[in-house]
Amino acid sequence: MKRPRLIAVPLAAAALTGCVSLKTPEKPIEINLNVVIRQEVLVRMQKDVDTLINSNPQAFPQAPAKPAGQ
Amino acid sequence: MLRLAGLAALALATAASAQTAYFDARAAGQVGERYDGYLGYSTAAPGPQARAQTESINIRRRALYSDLAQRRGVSPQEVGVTAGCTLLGRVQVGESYMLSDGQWRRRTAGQAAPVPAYCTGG
Repeated sequence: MKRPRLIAVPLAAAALTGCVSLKTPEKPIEINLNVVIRQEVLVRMQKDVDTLINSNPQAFPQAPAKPAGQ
Repeated sequence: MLRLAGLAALALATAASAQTAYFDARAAGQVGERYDGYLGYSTAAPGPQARAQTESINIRRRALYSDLAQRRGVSPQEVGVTAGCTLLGRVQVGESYMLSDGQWRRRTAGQAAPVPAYCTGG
């Protein structure tokens, strides 16, 4: 009597796992130090970030141009 | 309009000259851009002046990233990594940079801009 029960439990667990994975369409990108970045955010934020960089030279200083010939 | 442009140029020149130690350390490969949008120190430690200027830049960046993140509903880390894509692309020959594997490298002449694959969606 005990055997069929033991088989049924892993089958139910497998079915549940299948359901969960179907509900996560996002593609997170794993980066060092456990920072998870969504590709969609990277693309969406790029223009804003470039504006931020260009309008804040104190935080993103550009080296003065080298004299000609160097 | 011309006067405004002159003032802006003067302000930029002042900001640039005040960060000479940082620029020197950067050109020497001691300070470099990291994938996360912040500056870091590679192998040889820079002098205290360059270090202080680097810390000051990082503090400004953190404030800017946090502010933009809040306005757009994303995390400050996500803004930082996005900025890292642009900043790594600006690394000059001879300067150091750190990718997401934690390794410091030095840009050599003729090498393509060291932008990680995730920056372009690849």
